[in-house]
Amino acid sequence: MELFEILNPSGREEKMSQYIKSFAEGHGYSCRCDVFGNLICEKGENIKIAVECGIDNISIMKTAETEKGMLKIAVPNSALVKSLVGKKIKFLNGVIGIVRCDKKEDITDFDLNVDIGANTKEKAEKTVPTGEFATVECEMFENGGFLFGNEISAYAPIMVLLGVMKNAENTAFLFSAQKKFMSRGLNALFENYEAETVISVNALAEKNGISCGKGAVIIIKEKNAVPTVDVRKELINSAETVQIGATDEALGLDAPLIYGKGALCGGVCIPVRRKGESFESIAKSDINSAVEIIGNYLKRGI
Amino acid sequence: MLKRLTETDGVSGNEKEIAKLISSEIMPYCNDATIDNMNNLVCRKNGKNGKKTVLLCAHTDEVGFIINKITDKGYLKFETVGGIETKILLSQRVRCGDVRGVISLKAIHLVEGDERDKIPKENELYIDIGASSKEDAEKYVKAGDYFAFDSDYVCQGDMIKAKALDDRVGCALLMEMLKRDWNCNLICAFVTCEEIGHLGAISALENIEADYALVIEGTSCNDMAGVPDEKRVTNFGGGIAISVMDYGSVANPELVEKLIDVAEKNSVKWQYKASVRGGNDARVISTRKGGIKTASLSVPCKYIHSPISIMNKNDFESGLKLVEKFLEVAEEI
Repeated sequence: MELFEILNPSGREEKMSQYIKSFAEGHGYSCRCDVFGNLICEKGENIKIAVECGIDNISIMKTAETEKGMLKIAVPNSALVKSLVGKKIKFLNGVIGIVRCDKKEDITDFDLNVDIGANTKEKAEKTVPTGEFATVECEMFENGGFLFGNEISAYAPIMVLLGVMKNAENTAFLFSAQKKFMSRGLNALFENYEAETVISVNALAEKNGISCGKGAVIIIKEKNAVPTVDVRKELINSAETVQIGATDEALGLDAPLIYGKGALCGGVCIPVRRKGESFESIAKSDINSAVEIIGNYLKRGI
Repeated sequence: MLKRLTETDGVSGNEKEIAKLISSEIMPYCNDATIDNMNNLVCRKNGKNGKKTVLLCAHTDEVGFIINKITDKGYLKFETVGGIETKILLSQRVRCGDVRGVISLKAIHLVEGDERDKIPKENELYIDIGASSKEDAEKYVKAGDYFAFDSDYVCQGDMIKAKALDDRVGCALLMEMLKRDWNCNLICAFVTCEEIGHLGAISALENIEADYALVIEGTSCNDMAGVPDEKRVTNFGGGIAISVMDYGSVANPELVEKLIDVAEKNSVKWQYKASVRGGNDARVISTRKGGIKTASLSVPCKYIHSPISIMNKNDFESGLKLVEKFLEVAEEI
C-alpha cells in the first residue's frame, strides 16, 4: 500500500525516488540520482542490460485563485485535462481538492477550478501557494485479483521493476523522471548512460485485442519506435503466456535508440482497464507475468 | 541597446544581422566568442575563481514572414514564421531591409455580409509593396526573402513598446551580464530559431557543460482590461517572472528555490509565471549531458508576437538585478 500513497507528479518525483532507492539498497543495489532526477540502480559487474520505467504521474500546478476561493491549475499535458474533471487531487503540501468544470466540451486547463473548501481568495492563497504541485491520489484497493486505483497505470511498471529486482544480478534498473512529459528524463539519461540492451516497461490501454488477466504484453511497435526484433523474440520466448501487441502510444522506446547510440530495445507492458478514467484496474497476474518474462530474459541474457 | 536590438530585423532563420550587432558590442568583454553556421553566438567569460559555470541563454530570432510566391500583379504571398495570430496581421506594416510593405486589407466599402465577421486565413492575405507587376516586384524582393514587422521602438515613461521584445529583451540582459566580471565562469548563448523549434539551442548547445542554466525570455502578460486576475499569466510591473513549469520543461526545483531566495534577500521584485502554456530553450538545455539544472526567467510583455509588444522597464530592471545577484553567489551554491 505504501507505494500507492506516494505522490509523484512529473518534475517532483523525489519521494518516489527515495522509496525505490530504499528498497533497492535493501536488496544490494548501489543507487545514484542524476541531476534530472533519474534514479539508477545497479548490481553486479559488466552490466549490459538495463530495465527501465517511468516513476512519475500527472503533473498539476496551482497558478492562481479566484475571488470565490477556487484554485486555478495548469496541466502541461493537454490530453489529460478532460480526464481530471471530477477527480480528487492532492497537493504536495497535503491539501486535497476536487477538480470541477462548468464547460462540457473543448475543455482546457483554464476552465478547471479546484475546490479545496476555501471561500475567499485570501484563504485559498494561504492554503496552497502558487507554484505548488499536485497529482491524482491513487486510493488503491484490491478486488478479485485486480488492483483498482486512480492512475494506477503509473504505478504498475514500478511494481514490475521492484519485482524483478529482488532476484536479478548484473543488471541496471533505470527509474526515469518526467516520463509522462515526453520522456524527458530518459532523453537526458541516455545522453550519459550506456547499455547494450534496454527493456522498457510501461502500461497499455486494454484495446485492440489486448486484455487484462491474459499476461503481460510484448510490444512490436509503438508510436515512435519499433523494438529490436531479436529482443522482442527473446521476450516472447521467456514465458508461456504472453500477449503481443502494437500501440500508437509513445512508450519511450525511442530514447535508447536515439540518445543511447543505438541500444537494442524491447518493450513489456501491463494492460490497463479504463486507462485514463477514474479507478483504472490492472490484474495482479499480469504484473507477475511481466516479472517472470523479464526475470527469465535476464537469466538467459547474461 | 534594446532600441537597437529591437529595430534590427532577425526573423527565425535570418538572424545574421542580430548576431553581428551583438558580437560587435560584446567582443571586448569576452574571452572567447564563436558564431556558427546557424548564426548562434556563444560567448565565454572566465571567472575569477571559475569553480562553477553558469549558462545564460536568450534567443535572437523574432516571429515574422517569409515570401513564398509573387503573384502576376506584384503582390507577395507569404507564410508566417513562428506563431502569429492571423487576426493581428490585417493592415500591418512590414519590411524587408529598405523595402516597405503592408499586409493587405480589402477596403470596407467592398466587404460584404458575413465576410465582415470572418478572420481571413493566412493564405488569403498578401503583402503589398506597391509593385505593379511580378517583374516590378522582383526588382526589390524574391521568393524566400524575409519580412519583419515594421514597428519603431517607443519609450514612454516606464513603458517600452517595440517589436521582438521576445526575446531581444533577453539578449539585452545577457549583454549587460557580459560587461561585468564574475567569480564564476559565464557562458552567454545567443541562439537562433527558437520560435520554430529550438533549432539553434539544439545545435549550439549539444555539448555544453554548465552547473546552472538560466533561460531569459520575454513572456506573455494577459494583464489587460477584462481579463480576470486568475488568467493573467504575469502582472505588468509585477517584477521578473520565475517559471516553475511549462509545456517543454519543469524548472529544477532547487534552482527555483535559490532564485526566489536571492530575490527575497535582495528585495528584487518577482512573481511566478502563472501558466504552463508555451515553452522555451530550457526544454533543450535541461536534458543536455544527463541534465543541467535549468530555470527560466521572463520579462512580462503584453501583446507578445505582435508589432506592438509592451514591457515595463522596471520588470526588466528586476530581471537584471536578479541575474546579477545570482551570478554573485553562484559559486557558493
